[in-house]
Amino acid sequence: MEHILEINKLRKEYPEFVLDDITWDVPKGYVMGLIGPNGAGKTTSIKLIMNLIESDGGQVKVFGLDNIQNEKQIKNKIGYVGEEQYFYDHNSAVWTGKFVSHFYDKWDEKKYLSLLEQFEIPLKKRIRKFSKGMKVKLSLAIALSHNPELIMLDEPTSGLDPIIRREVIDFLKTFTEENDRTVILSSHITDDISRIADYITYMINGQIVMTESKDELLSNWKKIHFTLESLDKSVIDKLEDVESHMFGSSGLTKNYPSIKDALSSGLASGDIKVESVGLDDILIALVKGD
Amino acid sequence: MLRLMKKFSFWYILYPGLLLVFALPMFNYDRLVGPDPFSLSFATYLAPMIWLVLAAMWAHEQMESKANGYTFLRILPIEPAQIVKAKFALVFIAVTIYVGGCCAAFAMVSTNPEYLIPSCAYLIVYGDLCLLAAAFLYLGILRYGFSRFGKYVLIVWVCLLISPIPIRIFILKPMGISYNEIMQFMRGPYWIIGTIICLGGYYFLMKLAVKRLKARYT
Repeated sequence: MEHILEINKLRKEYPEFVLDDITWDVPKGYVMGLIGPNGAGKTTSIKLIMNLIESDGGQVKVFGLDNIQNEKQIKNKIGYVGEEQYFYDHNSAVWTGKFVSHFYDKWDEKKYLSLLEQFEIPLKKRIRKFSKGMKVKLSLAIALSHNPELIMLDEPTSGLDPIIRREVIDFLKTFTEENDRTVILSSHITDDISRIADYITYMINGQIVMTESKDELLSNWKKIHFTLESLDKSVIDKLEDVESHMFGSSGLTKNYPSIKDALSSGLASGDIKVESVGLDDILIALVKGD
Repeated sequence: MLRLMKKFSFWYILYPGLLLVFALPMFNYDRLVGPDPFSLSFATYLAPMIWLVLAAMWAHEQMESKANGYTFLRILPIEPAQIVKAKFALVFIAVTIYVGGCCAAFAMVSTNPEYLIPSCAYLIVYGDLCLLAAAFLYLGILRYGFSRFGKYVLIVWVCLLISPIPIRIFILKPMGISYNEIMQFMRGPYWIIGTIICLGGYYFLMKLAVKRLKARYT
């Protein structure tokens, strides 16, 4: 599998946080969701990839090129939307498009204007009068109008109301499906990632704890509801985040296929029930187990 | 870089207007046609006006700071060197146009090279000092950020603008030296050597500013 992004032992030290020698590859042509609680290191990682901050060790290769030595060339092929949106906000969206167009080799003015229209962004209104949602959409329009090969979105929907959030995510979903682009989407809103990601990476306390395809992840991780009599203790020991309730117990397995056989009799008798889990359940289990 | 220069040029285009506002009330026709040769007197008044370039620089950086310009440019495929070079180039062009314009005006009104050369040399030296001051102030802005360092730019600017007055009162007058004598002194090779040194220094400080911006960015 070809990788568009290769990170090797990347390190960044802050007084109260360390991004701990992470190694991470992102396959080309897929949407990678980066999930983690606040302060896990998602934004730090993305800023290091964009060379917006200086690393304390390790290497980042984007499109096979070192991200520091080839910064300009790499940024030319990346569409980036950060958590905060910065523009020359005394100018309009049209002016901004014209200004940034000079720095991108493949700027597509028609696409930009059509995206502005699609997002219902006023063309001549000063950006400082835009709402947060409009600024995110404008960022997205800029990020997508120079035909980027890699799109990096760092918590783009943070702080948006649910309607705009859904609109942005649905647009991204359609865009990535139609254009076969690689996307890295960082968020702690797992619902957003669940809707569009092909691969999921969990990041906790400055470490990457898991990278897997979303389908595999969701088929491997299941919530098992059981009574203590219905399940062998050796199986219960393999479960995570086990909780006892009034009517039985429940726990998470991260390798459902390996215990499926052990559950068959309980499933048949109805003493055991298997439930699909969400990405946030997995995050919580990982955080608790960390 | 030209696109950046165009974006950054707003206050530098506006500053000739500022220049007039500041300069006009200071002109005294009787004084200009007084005992001193025309261009020498004129140079004495016009040279300190060059510090208004620093005001344009301050206004530009304030606008950039308010608009988070450096942060916005950071995510675009632009090298820090391009940003710094565009800013330094604008200061250089503003100073050159001002000094060049004044010298051209002197050349038109002066018929005696005895006075024309020292007048122009005096203005060129002021231009050199302005370039160096701008470069040092830029280093400060890039090191500490405009929000922290901007006020020092203003203080330095005001001090430089009014500096001829205390220099005259507290240094030149007690020593019995006039500005005209200084200008006559400058007609020698000193201003050429000084200009070469200052331009070299300006270039060197620009390189340092590029490093400073790179360090600030990461």
